[in-house]
Amino acid sequence: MQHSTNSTASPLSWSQPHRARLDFAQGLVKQVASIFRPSVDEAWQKASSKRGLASRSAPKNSEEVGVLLDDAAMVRFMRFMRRKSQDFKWQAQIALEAASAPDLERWLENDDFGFNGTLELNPDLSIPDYYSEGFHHQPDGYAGSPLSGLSYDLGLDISFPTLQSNGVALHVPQTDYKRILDLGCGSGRSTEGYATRFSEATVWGIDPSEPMLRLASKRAAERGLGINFRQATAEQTKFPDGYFGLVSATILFHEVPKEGSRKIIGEAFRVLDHGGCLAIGDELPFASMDAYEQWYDQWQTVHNNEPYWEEFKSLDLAKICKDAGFERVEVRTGDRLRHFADLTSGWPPFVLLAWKE
Amino acid sequence: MAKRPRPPGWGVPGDWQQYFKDESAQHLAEMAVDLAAAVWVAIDRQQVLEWLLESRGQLAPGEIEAFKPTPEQELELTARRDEFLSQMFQTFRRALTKP
Repeated sequence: MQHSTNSTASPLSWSQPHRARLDFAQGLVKQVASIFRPSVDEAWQKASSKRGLASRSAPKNSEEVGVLLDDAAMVRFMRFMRRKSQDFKWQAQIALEAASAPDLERWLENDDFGFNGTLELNPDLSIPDYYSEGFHHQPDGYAGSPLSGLSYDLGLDISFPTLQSNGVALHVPQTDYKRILDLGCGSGRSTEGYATRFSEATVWGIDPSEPMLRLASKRAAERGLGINFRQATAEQTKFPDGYFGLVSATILFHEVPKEGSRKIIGEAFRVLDHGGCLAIGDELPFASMDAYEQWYDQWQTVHNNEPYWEEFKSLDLAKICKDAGFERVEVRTGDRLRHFADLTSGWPPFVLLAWKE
Repeated sequence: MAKRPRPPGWGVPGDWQQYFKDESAQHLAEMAVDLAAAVWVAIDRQQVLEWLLESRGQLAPGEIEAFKPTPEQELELTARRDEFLSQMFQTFRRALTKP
């Protein structure tokens, strides 16, 4: 298995059958990207040339592409393989985690592990419904089991071993931030990027999920990072007005409905100090993709259980930021769908920086 | 914030979805992937075993290739083969007879 430098040293029982099954799961993901994806590109080129289309962007929208491609055998097979590889990964992970579940739960619940940061939990937190969608078909979702955080984090290692989790942190301006807030921090990978790059700053990561935050604190401790984690929603962070110099969100917004996105950006504006910066990193909006790319990308919505994928990708986040009061907004876009093995740079493909003057 | 109603055709986590026109073809494809996984686990295990034995001086290169089973071992291999194939086809039968 291609190992990620992002892995955590949990007491998972990596016996041979479990290791080999996850190795296979990773191989499936890699093959889908490296074999089936180019084949679908080829099917598209053939279909479009039959219709005498001059270029890939000739159809007006993804529906027109779908008319040409949805029934193609290669497309059906690729869709099946993408879904199968995701399901297989979760099944293999469940089996691995079940083999050492009591040890893992004890490890996660142990509060005495030499952590220099803080972990504020709130068992009474009201979690938005959208958070329990079971994104990416993850069994029990992000917070449904004590092992949800570990499952999510391990799933990233299997599907994206080269993922550059600190991608957004690398985009923000170099300034002496006193306090940094990472919204929807999940297992804390993006937060670690801030704590590493801005080691003098006090870094906070918030997420609604206790299992995510318990894992995030373990990961931070392993890396000697004194990050503060708080169980809270990005809509209501409970921090004072103007408290932060930098507020960030990495791959959060595509899992949030439109009205939630507005609330989160409004909350970011409130907790930012004057001169402070909001940094959002996420998937590429449809406005930056041609019809074929949109058609390919829409697979995520239905088949990878991303309920808000299309809603997010149709949003004008820059406008929402301006409506919220941000005076200056800068958008940087990169390649749309990166190859499995090529996530070491230029990720995420969409970065928005907004300043509160 | 309430959950949105899902559009037609939406799956929920863990739900089976049909991608192939012929449902049987999809079951075959699923079986092929599961079978490939089982084969890979066995290949991995065999490699580990060979490395362990070689590192301990208990297996010489080419020794496995040159191995001839005894009649008793042939019988055991036949029984294990039949069990393996039976399991594989039972999986397919179950998939096709799912309510």
